[in-house]
Amino acid sequence: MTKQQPSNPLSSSVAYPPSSSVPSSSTAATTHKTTATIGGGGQVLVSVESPLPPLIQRSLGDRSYDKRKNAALEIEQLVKSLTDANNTPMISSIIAVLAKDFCTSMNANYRKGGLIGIAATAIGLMGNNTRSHLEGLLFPVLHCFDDPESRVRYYACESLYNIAKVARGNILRYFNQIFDGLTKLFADVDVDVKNGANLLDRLVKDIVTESETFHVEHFLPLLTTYIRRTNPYIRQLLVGWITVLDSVPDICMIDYLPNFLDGLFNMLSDSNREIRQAADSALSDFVKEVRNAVVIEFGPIVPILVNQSLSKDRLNRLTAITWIEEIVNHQYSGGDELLPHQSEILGAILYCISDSEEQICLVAERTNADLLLLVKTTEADFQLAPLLETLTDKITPKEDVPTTMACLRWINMLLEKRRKDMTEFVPMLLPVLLMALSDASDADAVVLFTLQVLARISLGDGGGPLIDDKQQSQYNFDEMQHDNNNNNNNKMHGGILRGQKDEKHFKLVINAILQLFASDRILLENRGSLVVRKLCVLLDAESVYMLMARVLSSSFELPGGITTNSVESKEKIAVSDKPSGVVEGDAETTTTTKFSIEFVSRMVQTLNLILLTANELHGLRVLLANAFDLNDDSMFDKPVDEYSGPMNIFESLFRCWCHSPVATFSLCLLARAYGVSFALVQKFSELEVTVGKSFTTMYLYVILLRIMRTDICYFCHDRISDAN
Amino acid sequence: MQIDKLVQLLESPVFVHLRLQMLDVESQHHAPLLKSCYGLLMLLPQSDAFRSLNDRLTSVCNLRDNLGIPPTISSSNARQGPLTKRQRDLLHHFDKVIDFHRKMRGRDVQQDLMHNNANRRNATVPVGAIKQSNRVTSSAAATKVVPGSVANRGRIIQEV
Repeated sequence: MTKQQPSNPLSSSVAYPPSSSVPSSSTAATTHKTTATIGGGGQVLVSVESPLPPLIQRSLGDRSYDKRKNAALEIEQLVKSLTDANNTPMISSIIAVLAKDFCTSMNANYRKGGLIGIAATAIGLMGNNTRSHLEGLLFPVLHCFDDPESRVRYYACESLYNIAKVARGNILRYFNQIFDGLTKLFADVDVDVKNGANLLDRLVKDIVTESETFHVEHFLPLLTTYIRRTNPYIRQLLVGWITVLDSVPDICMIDYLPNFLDGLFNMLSDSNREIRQAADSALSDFVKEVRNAVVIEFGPIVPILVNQSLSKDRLNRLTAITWIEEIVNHQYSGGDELLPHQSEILGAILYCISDSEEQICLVAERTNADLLLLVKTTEADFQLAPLLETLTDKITPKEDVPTTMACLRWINMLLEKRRKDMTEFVPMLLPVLLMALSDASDADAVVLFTLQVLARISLGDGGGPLIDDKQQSQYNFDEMQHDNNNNNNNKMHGGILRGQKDEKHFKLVINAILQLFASDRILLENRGSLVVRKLCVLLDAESVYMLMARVLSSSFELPGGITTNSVESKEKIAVSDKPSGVVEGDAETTTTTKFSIEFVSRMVQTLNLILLTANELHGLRVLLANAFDLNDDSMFDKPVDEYSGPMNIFESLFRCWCHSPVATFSLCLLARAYGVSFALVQKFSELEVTVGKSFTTMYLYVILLRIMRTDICYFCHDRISDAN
Repeated sequence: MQIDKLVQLLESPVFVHLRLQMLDVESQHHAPLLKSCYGLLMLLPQSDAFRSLNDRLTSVCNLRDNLGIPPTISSSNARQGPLTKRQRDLLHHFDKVIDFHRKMRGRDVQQDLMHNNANRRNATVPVGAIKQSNRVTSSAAATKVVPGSVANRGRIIQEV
């Protein structure tokens, strides 16, 4: 411990007049002891060497609190008289002694004494006079906030309280330093220190609130730094400050929102209930302000909200999505202003829309509808690429049906709005849509919506709005009630798309669907009919069937070299010409448009059954029925070229339907081509004879029985093996 | 597509016109229609489907008898008589498709036999069969893609 006296700048010896007891500012803290209690004073002599009399110095470093307090009271009197005498240099040297000899002393009692002495000095200075000495007074005290001894820290807190009490607005110059100190005390392990810090905090808040010179800009860096801390006490301090600053009319905290918004959100997931509540109420205040604010800069806020909407905490997600809803609907800054951020926002919405919390889903659902409408109705130009990136990324049909549905709704809308611009994204969309089609676990709605999107892709102009097709129900009496769901679906997603087909994309879509069926037989079995029927409604049955037939039959080139469907002839592979034993260029694997022969006949049977049963295919059936006008006898004499329209449909289908004999036969009956059908029946018997040749009579009998009962098909061997 | 399923469908509203046309006994198309249906009938074993189709056809014949119209057996109705060239083309196409199916199936069987033989050979004489086995395995890989129980077919053929 240094007992050396500091060098005194002014070595004058002054005798101070005795001062009477002065009522001190003990009102400051009622629950806490303060230095300033009523005390007596005496005549003090100051030596030449030191501004503080040795007696005071000794009792100021005493271990007894009362002695220290008394010494402090004497210092107060001393400073008062010096102030009256306007002896500023002397006061400075007193402060210097207190700061150097006491506050930085090794002895804890000296430090305590120094702190109480500094407070007494501040009180002695009274009001405005503190200003010039403030720096000297504050820094020793703030330094003691780091003291290893909790009592010292407590007294430091008390000391600062008293300084603030007299200095009032003047301390704001050092606000950041004080706030820094506050954060230390708030996170203190000692309860007394914490309580003291709370009182100090309240006082500083009061000062800031009444002050007109507080600069938030200066405070911001500190706020941004500390808001990242997870210490609950610091969080409490910060959320309190944000709320207080927000309540000051002169301070517009909303301008600084990006600096602390994320931090506030993080407090929502604090384990402490009080902090959660405080943060929540602060955030709901801010959201109201956002609603009323005329101009809000969304750029920096959006990433914060998006990030928070992915939080694992439900309150964070809910609050974030509520904020997003607010932003989307913002009367001034929403709308077109939001277009640059829409893909980010959309990502957040799509994530929340499948939330396990019903409330979050609801808000997300609403927000999604609002944003969709916003984009749909906007006249402004916007980038498709980021949107589609988000959408293709979010379609995960396995579990999140609402998300998938929302994505489809968006793609649908975008296709309707900007079909031409969407063309470049079709290759990206198609695989995703097919995945949606096959993965949709038990959501027919997803399938139907996906098909609508696919139909829009097939149309050159996106198809425009859905047109309700009232005719559908009229034919019901005429039709077999295929299944009840079918009718419900029509009500739900009824309507057809009008528009010119874009051949390239139409073929792309049909091809993709067929390939999906080829690779996923379970899908074909469960949903094949639904998919085909829906496509027939959305586009028209005739073109869908024609194209499917064309794609299917173009899988093979038949022996004999006569190309049956000249359009695709160049793509064909002459599978059958290859010598057997050599590695087979299997149709399905070599190129994308090739299907296995077994799949083709399965698909033909599926299509045929739909053609014969589904309400949706009524129009095509009528067309086929009139393919041959039976009453017109001159028909058969007409030159070949005049066969057109329905006749052409019949022939195209027939060529493909050949892959299933019974289907071919039924097609002929449907088209009233009875001559052909009779010729076919005769061929059926030939079929069986050839099958039977290689077997014994006994076998033949069994085979024929089985075949006749069940199926005429090319895979009779399978059946026989079953019989075995 | 199964025949009895088709017969079922013939009873559905889709084929109302077909059933009504059966009454139109004087029409030119009546004979092929009736023959088609009888052809179907003959393909069916005795079953519910057979009976329902049979009932239909019987009532048509009763009608004809009642009207006193003799069954028209004209030479022009010989096998491909009234068919147009286009229709004959279609039927020709049908034949080709069937032929194609048959060939494909035949090849499956053949491959399968080879596969089995190769396996047997590989088991006994592994040395020197490398080139052979290479070819066989690749062809086996190709046959896998063709659905249907290839192995079963092969077995049956051998048994026969």
